[in-house]
Parts: sequence; C-alpha cells; structure tokens
Amino acid sequence: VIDLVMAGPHPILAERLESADAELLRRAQAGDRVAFERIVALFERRIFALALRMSGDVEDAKDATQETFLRLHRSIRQIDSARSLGPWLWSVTVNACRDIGRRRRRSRLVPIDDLVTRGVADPAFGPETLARAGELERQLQMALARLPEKERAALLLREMEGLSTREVATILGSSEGTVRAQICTARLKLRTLLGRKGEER
Amino acid sequence: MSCPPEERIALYAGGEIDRGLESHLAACIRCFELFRRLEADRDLLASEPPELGAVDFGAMRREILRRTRRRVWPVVLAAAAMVGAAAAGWVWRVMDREIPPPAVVAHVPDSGPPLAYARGSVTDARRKRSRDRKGAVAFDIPRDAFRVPTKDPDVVIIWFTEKGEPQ
Repeated sequence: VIDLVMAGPHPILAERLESADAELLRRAQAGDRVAFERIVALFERRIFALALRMSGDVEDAKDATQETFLRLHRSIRQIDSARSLGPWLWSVTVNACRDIGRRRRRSRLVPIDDLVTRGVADPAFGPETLARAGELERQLQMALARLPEKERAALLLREMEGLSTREVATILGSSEGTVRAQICTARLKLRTLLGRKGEER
Repeated sequence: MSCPPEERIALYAGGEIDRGLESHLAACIRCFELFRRLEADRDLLASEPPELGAVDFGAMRREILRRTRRRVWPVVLAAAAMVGAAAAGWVWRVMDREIPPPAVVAHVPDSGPPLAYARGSVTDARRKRSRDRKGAVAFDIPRDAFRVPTKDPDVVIIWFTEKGEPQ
C-alpha cells in the first residue's frame, strides 16, 4: 500500500486506501505507535510535495511536513476516523506553510516571490537541489510563488491531490463558487507565467 | 468565429463538461492550443517534484517519531514536584500551628503572705543577691516588691507593686 501511495493518488485505489487510512487512524488513536509511523510513511511524500510547491523552499517544506505530523499527533484523538485523513492533513499542511512563510518574512524581511525568483543565485536553492530539480519544476515553483496564496493553495489541492471543489472549499474555508473561480484564475495566471517555457513543451 | 472567454477553456481543461466548447475547440486552433497547454500544466502539477529524490524521508520520519515519543522523565519530575509540594504544605501547616503554652513550672498559692518585704529597687536586688542558709539564691527584695513562695526552690517570683504591700 505504501509503495502505491508513494507513486501519487490514483482514483482506482482511492476507496481501498481510504479504508486503510481509517483503520490506521483508529489504531493510532488507540496509541499504536506503529500505526502512527505507517501514517507518516503513507503521507510524507505527498505532504512534502504539496508543501514544497506551496512554499517554494525545500527547508520550509521539510519544516511544514514535520509540523503537520506533530500537529496530527497532538490532535489525533479529535479527528473523525470515519472520514478520510487526507483532507485534514492537507488543511494542516497549507496552514503550516502559511505560518512558516510568515515567520520567514518577519525574520528575513525577504518576500517569498523574490526568494524564489532569484533562483540559482540564492543559497536557499543550493547547487545540489537545483541540479536535481528539473528546469520545468523550477519554472513551475517560480510561477506558483507569484500566485496569491489562496489561489496557489486551491490550485495545488485540486491538481496535486485531485480534491473536488467542495473539498478544497472546506479546507480553505471558502465557498465553492470562490474556489472554482480561484482555480480557474490560477490556471490562466500560471499559463501566462510559465509563458514561453510552456510553449516549448 | 468568436472565441469563448479563456476562463471557460480553463474550466473545461479542469474537467468541467461543456459541449458547446468542445465543438469550438475542434474548429479553433488558437483555443485548442490554449486548452492543450492548460492540460500540460495540469500534468506538470500532478507530477512529483524532482526534489523528493533528494530528501531523506527516513531521517525526517525518525525525527518526527522522536519528537512525538512519550517522555517519561517530565511525568516523573512532575509527580515528584507534586509530592514535594504536598510535603512542603504539610510541614508549613504543622509549623504554622499555634504553639501551646509551656507547662506550669511554678505554683503560686492563692493566698498567703509574702515571704519577704524590703526596701530598695530592682537594680539593688540584682546587685545584692546572696545565698540563704539552705544555699538557695536569695534576693534583697526592694521596696514595693514581694517575694511569692513557690514549691520549686529554683523558681523565684517577685511581685512588684506601686502601692506598697499587697492586700
């Protein structure tokens, strides 16, 4: 199951995974440490990927991922085990990214847009990271950083996690109409920002 | 041919059903190209970021598990602190009790004349103390002071008065 989840969400497996999530969650709520570790293993890559594209920074994404699981551990008994764990985790991840972004802006006084746009010259994007990251991914993260936070979150939750408009709206605390418009606008803005790179694809 | 707004194409690219737009995309190369690029953007967003290959998820997981481990020492220390506080409170209450008066060391008879009567002052009495025939300390009792008999020879009670001999 873990290997399948690592490869990303897949509609065919969604139902089976949800029941596996629920069982793991119930066991973790009862204090089963192994079950909690399995939950971490199941979701860590997806949470990190979401956090990376939300924050545009590898270290911030690591912090947000850890923070998400720490919050899960603290609140695990309050989560409804009848529901899928995913939306709860995405919601916490988005909030953790926002909190980390705010702290960083206060401490460094550098807007996230500038940080990402500086790209190669910025130590936050070390040579190793950049070497591994594909050019398209780098362009994507730079473009995402230029989107308003809510639009970015709505777009990523829809496209990365395949959530419905209603689910995204619940996570972001917005109406379905607002989220639908945000996703639509974000798609077109992203297309404009990716510009020529997109044309070359 | 009038093209639809780009928002409509973006919604269609996101999976919304739009029969009217479908026929337009089949005929308009410009709109179809936008649709194709929007779909490519969706594919890119759905792909895993390459950075994931450089992250040590095992180390991250161990750190998460370490930070969520139940810590025994704080619980033990908290319990010890509570016991200590309770003990301190008990000691405090005990010490704070009213100290009972000391046991009676001398008995003063209800009646009976004073044993001695002499002129002088308290200061004089201190200076002129001497021993009586039995070896007990005796005082030259000053004027306006009376020695009261007690059962204990080591206990001396002197009654001072301003108006002379007690009635």
